[in-house]
Amino acid sequence: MHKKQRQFWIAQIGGWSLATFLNIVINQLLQPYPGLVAATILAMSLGFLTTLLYRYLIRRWGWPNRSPRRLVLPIFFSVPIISMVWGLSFALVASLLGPWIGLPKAPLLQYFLGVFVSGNLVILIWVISYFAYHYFAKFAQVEVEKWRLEAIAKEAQLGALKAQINPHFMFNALNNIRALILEDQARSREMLTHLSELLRYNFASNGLQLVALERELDIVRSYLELVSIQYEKRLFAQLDYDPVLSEVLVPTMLIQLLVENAIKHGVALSPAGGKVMISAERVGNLIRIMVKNTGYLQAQVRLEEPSGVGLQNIKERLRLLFDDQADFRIEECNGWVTASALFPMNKEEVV
Amino acid sequence: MTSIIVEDSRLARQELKNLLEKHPEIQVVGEAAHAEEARQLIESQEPDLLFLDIQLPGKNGFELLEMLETSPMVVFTTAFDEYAVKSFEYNTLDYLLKPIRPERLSATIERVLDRWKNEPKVNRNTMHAQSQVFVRDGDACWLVQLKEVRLLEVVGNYTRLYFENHRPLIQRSLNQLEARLDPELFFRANRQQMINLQWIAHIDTWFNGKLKIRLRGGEEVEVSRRQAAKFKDILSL
Repeated sequence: MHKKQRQFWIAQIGGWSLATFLNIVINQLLQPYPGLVAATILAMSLGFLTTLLYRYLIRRWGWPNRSPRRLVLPIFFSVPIISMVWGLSFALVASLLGPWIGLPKAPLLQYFLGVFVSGNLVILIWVISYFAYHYFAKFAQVEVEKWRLEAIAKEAQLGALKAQINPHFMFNALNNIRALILEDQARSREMLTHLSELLRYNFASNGLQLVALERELDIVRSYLELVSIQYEKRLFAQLDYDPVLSEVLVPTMLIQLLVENAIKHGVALSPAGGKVMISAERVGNLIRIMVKNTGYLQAQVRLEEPSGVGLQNIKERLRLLFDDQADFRIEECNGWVTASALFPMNKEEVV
Repeated sequence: MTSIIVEDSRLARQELKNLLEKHPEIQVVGEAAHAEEARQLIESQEPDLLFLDIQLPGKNGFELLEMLETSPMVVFTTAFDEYAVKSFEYNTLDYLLKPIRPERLSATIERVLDRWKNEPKVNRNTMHAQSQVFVRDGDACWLVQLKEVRLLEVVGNYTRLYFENHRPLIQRSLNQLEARLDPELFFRANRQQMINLQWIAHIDTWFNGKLKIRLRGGEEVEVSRRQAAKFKDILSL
């Protein structure tokens, strides 16, 4: 508010001084008359004061809060009235002080008209500038507020999108390792290492980070090792990708979540178990990640299910990261459910 | 006391067996990896107790219990408490979180043994007063003893059970149930209803030779004329 006040005074004083100066220069060149400088300074000073009064009234009547459309009529009627006030005040002061400051002698009406006629234009310019500045400042403020809100919303979204390890998986893994310790010490130690890798990766990742494909697949391998002690022979998993793609950046936990989802629906639900195939391939400038599992779509994408929310999250993350350049879909065909994510890989060029 | 472990993961079964070594009073007579296998095993082994994982491939733990006519005692095992396990009635259903804490397991086994010792051993082929039925209604579930059930009522192909202040449905017809229920305990009052004879509070004669029975739960049941004669016979015995 303080800043706005100061800006007003700078504009008010600056504007009127400029008007005074130009008026004197132009009149001096075109049609000089005696007492020009004094008359102009007097008229402009009164204009200065009149517009202060005008501003006081504008603020008092709450015009700054009106929409531009609802200002047209008030401005249309107030401009002549304010000019009249200006003209009258000039006529009065000029007739009283005229002789002392060297103004040519003239009837009151002439003094009045001299200011009133051109005054209308001056006051109109003043009031338009006043509101133009006002709207500009308000607009800028709204814009800043909008950005701030967007930032907050994005942050909140990210929090929700942050991929998290399924607690069911976690506790089952720990329970299995407990039994494995008595059965195969070396293997149980390996499993603990896999579990720490997975946890470390998960703690470090936020929803919108990108990571090298190879790194993400390392984690997927750890995850597959851990679920293999839960499902044993019921799970068959296969990973297939061109090593040339190793350094391509992919969203963290993306493949991991797709694999988790595939196992949850393709393997966990069936007493006989199932298969999961993971692949990555280059499609022009895009990379396609595919995770296939045996089973049926039906149960897999219902939105009220946690997994449905998980898939929705993946879609949303891809949108935030790649706008409309990414595509995510999940389809069923011949007893296989395929989830595929397609997104640009130009974030890191493949050599 | 005999028990069966139903867990889809071999290591989880092994882990539970390891823990149960400290409890020789619990004898593990079988293991199953999924519901169908479990059902066959339960029918052939007739265990006193089930350790049952809720998350199973195919049918889950709840669905397994619903398939059973009468249920042994059940201790649920689960890795994560997302099935609103809290809504289980205290003492009828117990649950253990995996990995299982040995002290928690001991407490649970103590409770199970207590109940088991205080119950007369019955032949599980017919449904007796002590037989338990698993009932689920939305998030809530119960393992209810038939002696607690006052009234059974036809609702389409299902049957509504009245016990305490609950009225859940089970997915079996009243006719199916009648064939299995102990006739000394349950009486078919009319086409729609069977009553538990131990819950009768008051009997009134009604017109046309009918009877009107009020149960201790407050429900009123009309006994059809045909059944009224039978009813008098049973009572005079």
